[in-house]
Amino acid sequence: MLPKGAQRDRVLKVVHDTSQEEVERVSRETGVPAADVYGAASFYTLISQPDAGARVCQGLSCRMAGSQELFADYLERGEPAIYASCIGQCDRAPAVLSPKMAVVSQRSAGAVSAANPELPMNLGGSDSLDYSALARSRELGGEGVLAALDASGLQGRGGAGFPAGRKWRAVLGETETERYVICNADEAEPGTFKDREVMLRRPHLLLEGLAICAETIGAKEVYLYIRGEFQEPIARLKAALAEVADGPLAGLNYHFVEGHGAYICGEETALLEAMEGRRGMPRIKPPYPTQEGFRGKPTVINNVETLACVPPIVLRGGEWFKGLGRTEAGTKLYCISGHVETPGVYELPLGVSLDELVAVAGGYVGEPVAFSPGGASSGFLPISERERALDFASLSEVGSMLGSAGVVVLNETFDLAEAACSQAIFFEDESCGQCAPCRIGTRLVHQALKGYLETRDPNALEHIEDLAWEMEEGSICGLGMVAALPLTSAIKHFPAAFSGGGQA
Amino acid sequence: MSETTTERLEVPFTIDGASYTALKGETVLEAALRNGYFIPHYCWHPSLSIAGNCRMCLVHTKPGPPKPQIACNTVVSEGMEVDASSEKTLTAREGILEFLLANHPLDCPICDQAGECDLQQYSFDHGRTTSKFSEIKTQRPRHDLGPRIRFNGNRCILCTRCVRFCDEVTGTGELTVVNRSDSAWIDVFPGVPLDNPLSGCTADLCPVGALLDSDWIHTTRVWLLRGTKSVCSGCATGCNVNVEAFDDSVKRMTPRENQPVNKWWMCDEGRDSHREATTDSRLNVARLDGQPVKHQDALEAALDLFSATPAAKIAYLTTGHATCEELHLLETITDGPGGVNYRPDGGAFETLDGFKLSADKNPNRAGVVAVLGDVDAGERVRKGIESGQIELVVVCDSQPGGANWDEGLVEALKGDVKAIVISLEDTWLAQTKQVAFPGLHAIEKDGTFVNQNGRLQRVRAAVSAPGDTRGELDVLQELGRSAGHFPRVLSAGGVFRRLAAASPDAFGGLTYRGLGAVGLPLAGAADQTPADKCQTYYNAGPVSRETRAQDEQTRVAVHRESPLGYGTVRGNV
Repeated sequence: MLPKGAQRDRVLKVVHDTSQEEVERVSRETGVPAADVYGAASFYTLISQPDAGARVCQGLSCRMAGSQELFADYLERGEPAIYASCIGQCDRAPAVLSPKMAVVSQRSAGAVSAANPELPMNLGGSDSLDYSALARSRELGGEGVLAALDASGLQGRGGAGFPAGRKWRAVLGETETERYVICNADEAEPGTFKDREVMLRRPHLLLEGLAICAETIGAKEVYLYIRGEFQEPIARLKAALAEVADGPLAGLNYHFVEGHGAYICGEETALLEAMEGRRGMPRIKPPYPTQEGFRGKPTVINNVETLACVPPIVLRGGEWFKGLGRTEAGTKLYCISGHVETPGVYELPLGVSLDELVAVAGGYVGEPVAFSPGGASSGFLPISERERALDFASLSEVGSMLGSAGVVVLNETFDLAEAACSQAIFFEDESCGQCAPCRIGTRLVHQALKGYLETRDPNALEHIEDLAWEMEEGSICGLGMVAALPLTSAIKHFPAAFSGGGQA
Repeated sequence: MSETTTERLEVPFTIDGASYTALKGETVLEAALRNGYFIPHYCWHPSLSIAGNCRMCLVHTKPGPPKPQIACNTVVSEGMEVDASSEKTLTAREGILEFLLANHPLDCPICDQAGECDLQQYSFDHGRTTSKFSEIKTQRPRHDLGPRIRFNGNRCILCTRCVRFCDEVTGTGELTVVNRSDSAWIDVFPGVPLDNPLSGCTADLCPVGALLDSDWIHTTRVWLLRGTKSVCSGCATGCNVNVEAFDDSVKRMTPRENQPVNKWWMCDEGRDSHREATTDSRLNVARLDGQPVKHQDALEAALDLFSATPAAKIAYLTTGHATCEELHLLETITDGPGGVNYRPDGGAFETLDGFKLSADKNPNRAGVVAVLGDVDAGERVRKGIESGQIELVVVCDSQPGGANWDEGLVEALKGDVKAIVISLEDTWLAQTKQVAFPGLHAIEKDGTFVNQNGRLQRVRAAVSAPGDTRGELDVLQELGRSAGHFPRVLSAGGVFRRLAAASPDAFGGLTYRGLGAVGLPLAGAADQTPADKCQTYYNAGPVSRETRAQDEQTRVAVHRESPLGYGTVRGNV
């Protein structure tokens, strides 16, 4: 319980580092105890390591493209540099964030699908300022919008695939009338950079989707939680908002909240904790955010892509959207990176196969061996699954998942054990440390893999199956549950890579 | 109407096939504990918000997801089938323990928590004998968090009970978790130490040996401690405590749960109050005209003095530290006026959950009012002495540091008036007056105190007094017996029975034995909580020591099975 008048919400907005003076200043300014400020600030890498220099991405795609050599170059030149978890620039791998949060890369940004008005998000097209979907949603009324959403079969695009309509309805069913809408733009799953493109290319689509959501559920306050590494998208969104704030969006208050470097804040309850100025640790559920979310009030938290799908659904109907999908409803933004010719974000019917996706992305580079279909959390699949539909149901059949559809393709030149290690490092760094299975399990997975890579002794990985099971059973949130999956799936599908021989 | 409401509030459910009843809205863990079914847990505590981070209370529920759920955050639904001990559940629980142990140093032989450590206990109950991990353990800092609490980061399991205590109970917010992932640990902000009046409770709450009370560590193994259920004499709150002693010397005092009195807590000052009994300034020998003598010699002199003086010419002086029984005896054996000295007010503190540390540093001020009624600070005694009305004063001073009598009274006492002094401290009165006997500290005597809310509670002797100390009850009754007041010397309980008979308005219907561990309210008291509502069902042990609450069930079995004959003496009654 905080002292009266304390403004915890402001803590993470005003704190810049974890130095004694800074924490004391923030504590005085916000009325929050110094220990609280210190604990919260130390959680986020951008605050706890403010002057670390260049942040070299060590996400899987960047690692495959030589981020380790890049890092060594920095050290050789005597420039300060640290490794960072995925910075969401997999199409430009290897990428680095400059101390001023600008992306540094030899490569230009990846491709997107060509303009096509028949695509709901149509990243290649131009953004429209007419906000006709918002007007249409007012004609339809709340129930009409929800009916369209239900008919569209839109599943949450953040990774879990929860039906968007049901989430909105859950909030509508609450008696509390103070409600919030939050856009989850804390895109940090290694291999994923689709939300970045939506924000850069179709900011109005997102703002419109948020407005429709807010009006449907009866919220006045709209929050956009965007990872702090995305300075360009933040600027773009702010500019877009300025264009229309007094026009179609009048009456709604848009707030921007910047993340401070914590993957776990993409988990919706951790995101809420971060927005409230605390350590970004997932809450235990129930209650769900739709019941008690931001500031304890019913809250809809949707992914950027989910919200961007809403305006076209409202305009052209749920059935139309549903019909765009192949195995499941709608189109999907697939991010593809790794060993392919043209990495990028492609809007394709939900349920295309890897081969189809890679065909759009210019084809494979080298001989493909494995792929990770939906970010680090989805583990690895053998290339023999290249025909499998990339959708929620079909991938879960093989113990993987679509997740955020951040597809990474690996060819024969990259060691699967190294790849698994890359993901293990990621999960170890990004575990919030709240529950024992994840906090300690992620470290043990990494250590075991490191031990294996050093000695090539298969015994180092002897107990991984048990460990993975215990992490899956015991963890609070999804991070701990899947943190061992990259390794276990790699061992399952590529036993040769872990039998001591080296390459798969 | 009310009957049907009660009925509707009860939710039938089963644990491992056995039928139980939960209250509506109750979690599986609460319902299980209330029904006497123990599910292991670290981070959950009835006074704190649910954190759900230790994952120790995993159970499977039907209806429910296929994965195990934490019992502390799963609400019982009607007909729910809880599986708390199938192989599947136990394996998941073992896994959690193995994780915790993967980081935890196996330093039980030198850890002060050993013997009352939940991690140790659960490892015994649920642990695997081997570990699959050979990885390096994480190293975390080891330092003082505040003047009282020492932190051993390597032992910490990050259950955050201590953090939540400082946030939710004291509201002082000194503690936090810093950093993240496996590099996280509990810490204070540099320059803001953990220094609130209840900081010692964080060590009680710590289920492992991570937060330790630096006042008591490295003194005794806990299984050698013998606990006595008593009441703290530090202030008028009357916190229920376990006075834990080894080799007839008090090693520490820990709180006992009593909801209307002290919840689960006690203050740091109270924890140190037993030190008042071991000061150098204590009187530990009888004195005759200031010279040390045998008790019997002093007693004979006192009896001569007492019987030579008419009762009407005998006054008494006492303090807010005297038990009700001592007060009753003083009033009975003298006919002159009486005076009471109180310790001046000290620091008060109120927690967010309503535990009130009283500013009144006298444990029995309310008892003085109940037994003696209207008494002053010694004004009438002074006048009596000055006017020659009073020839003998019986001084019963068990106030630590000695009573601080009014100046006028001191002047009067310095005169020719005779005095029989029973004193905790070797005061100037004890050194200069005719007869002096050593008195007892609250940890050495039996009797009753009335707390600030009118609750009558028992203090119990936990250790013996130094030297040849007979104590107030003995000396006062000897004096009274010589004057024909009592046929024989009684125990505190016997004196209480006489008190109850003599003051039926306040004490009527109360019996000494009936006071039990949590006391009873006096007639008309502010706190009218009946004894069976004083403790929650979760555990009857002090603060977090769930391990001890299990004693009855598991430790017996452990003893029997252990070839080493674990735990020769255990004091947690």
